[in-house]
Amino acid sequence: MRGLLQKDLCLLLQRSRVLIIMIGIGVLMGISTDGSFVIGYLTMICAILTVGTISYDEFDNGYPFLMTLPITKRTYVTGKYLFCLLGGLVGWCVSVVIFLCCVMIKGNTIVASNLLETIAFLPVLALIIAIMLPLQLKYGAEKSRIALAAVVGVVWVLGYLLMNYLPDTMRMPAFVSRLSDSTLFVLLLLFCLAALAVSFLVSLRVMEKKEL
Amino acid sequence: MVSLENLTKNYGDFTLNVTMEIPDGQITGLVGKNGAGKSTVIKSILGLISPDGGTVSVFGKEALALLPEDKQKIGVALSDSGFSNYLTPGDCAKILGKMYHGFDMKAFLDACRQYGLPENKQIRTFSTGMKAKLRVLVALSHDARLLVMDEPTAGMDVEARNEILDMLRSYLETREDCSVLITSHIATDLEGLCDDIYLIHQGRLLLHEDTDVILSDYGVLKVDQETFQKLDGDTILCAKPEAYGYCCLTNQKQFYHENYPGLVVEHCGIDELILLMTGGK
Repeated sequence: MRGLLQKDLCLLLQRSRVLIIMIGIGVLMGISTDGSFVIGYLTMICAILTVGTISYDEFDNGYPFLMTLPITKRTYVTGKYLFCLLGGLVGWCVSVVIFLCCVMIKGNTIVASNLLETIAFLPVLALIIAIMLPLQLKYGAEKSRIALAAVVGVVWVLGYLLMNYLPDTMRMPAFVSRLSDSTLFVLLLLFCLAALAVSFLVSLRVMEKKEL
Repeated sequence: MVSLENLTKNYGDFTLNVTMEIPDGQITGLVGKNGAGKSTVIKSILGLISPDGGTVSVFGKEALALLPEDKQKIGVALSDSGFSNYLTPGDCAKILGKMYHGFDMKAFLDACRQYGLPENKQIRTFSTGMKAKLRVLVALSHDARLLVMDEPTAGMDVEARNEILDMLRSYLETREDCSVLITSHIATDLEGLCDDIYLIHQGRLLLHEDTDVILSDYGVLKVDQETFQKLDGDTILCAKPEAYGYCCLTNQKQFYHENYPGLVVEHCGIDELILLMTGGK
């Protein structure tokens, strides 16, 4: 596992220039915009870059050799989830620091709602990784983009249909509006953790079925 | 150390069916044309593909059930797969150091320098020969008991090939119990290295013989039609029609030297063996 994390870190550092540019853009965004957009932006960039290490693994038929190393397919998948979650978390931490610094620079005081706003991005990070990792493992770098677009499209269409054609009494917002913010957050977090667990099992199956 | 019992694998029209063994401390060569099934055999041994039938055991265990502890003892150099080209030998050293208990960082980096592999340059900037050297160095870096090498010298000039074979020889000098399975298109590489040779063609093993026996007892007879009819069929392994008559492979070269004084009996190397037994031209 440590060797896999080291490999992914080495691959990620190959793109350190991109990372530095992205952080620079994040700082500029933090200064120029009022909202917490910078947190979502940097967290997502880190998640995408870490998930992207899979494309380095598969590039030039790299998998057969990787699987001859003293690891199992389960270790590989676990390592990938760990690395992506850690990478996303580091991105989130950096972006939160940038966000809070920008709030202070602008002369505002940090209030509880600011912190809640930042934490709200964590379940989203988990959800993004839960969707992207199995797609990337199953379809590879190129096809997974199409698959991701298809997933987003399906979710959008479903959302549109639910919002427009569901009877008012069954609409989610009416039910959701009765919940407090903290309950909503906990529910969202649980949902994302469940999605992550399902995603892990799917990824494991994809890897185990893969003939190298 | 490695045993394949009726290993069967189907890919569309192609069917692999082999039974072979690599004993402890033996260097075994696997030769055959492109698409003969060499890489499928290697992948089966490494547990990368699941067989459709038969068994593959490594260190007495099913290849597919090999644990990371077992893989610690296997050094692998594949012809078409290795560390990401975006990594450097220095990165590889860090990764291997965290992967293998027996990895010697200093020895690996010293060997990289010795063979002209810059520690901080990405592998993608390396020549074919440099990449092949790195793959072999990685396989030899962690005191493996079993080496599996798929075409380690493919696409290289004679000097680079010799360097790689010397690397392998000096590794084996100090490890008498180490077993090796090596495939190569270049027969002379195997003649000077292997204890025994398996010849594979269209997914079937055509021959298994000690290298010394091939080089000492096997010969190529060049005969006309009339002489061909008189030859002892039991000592002829295969015959190929030629413009002058027949080109025959025998494993009784001495017999023909002694009993057919006028007959053209030529030395048989592994290249000739492959060509004659697989019906090549």
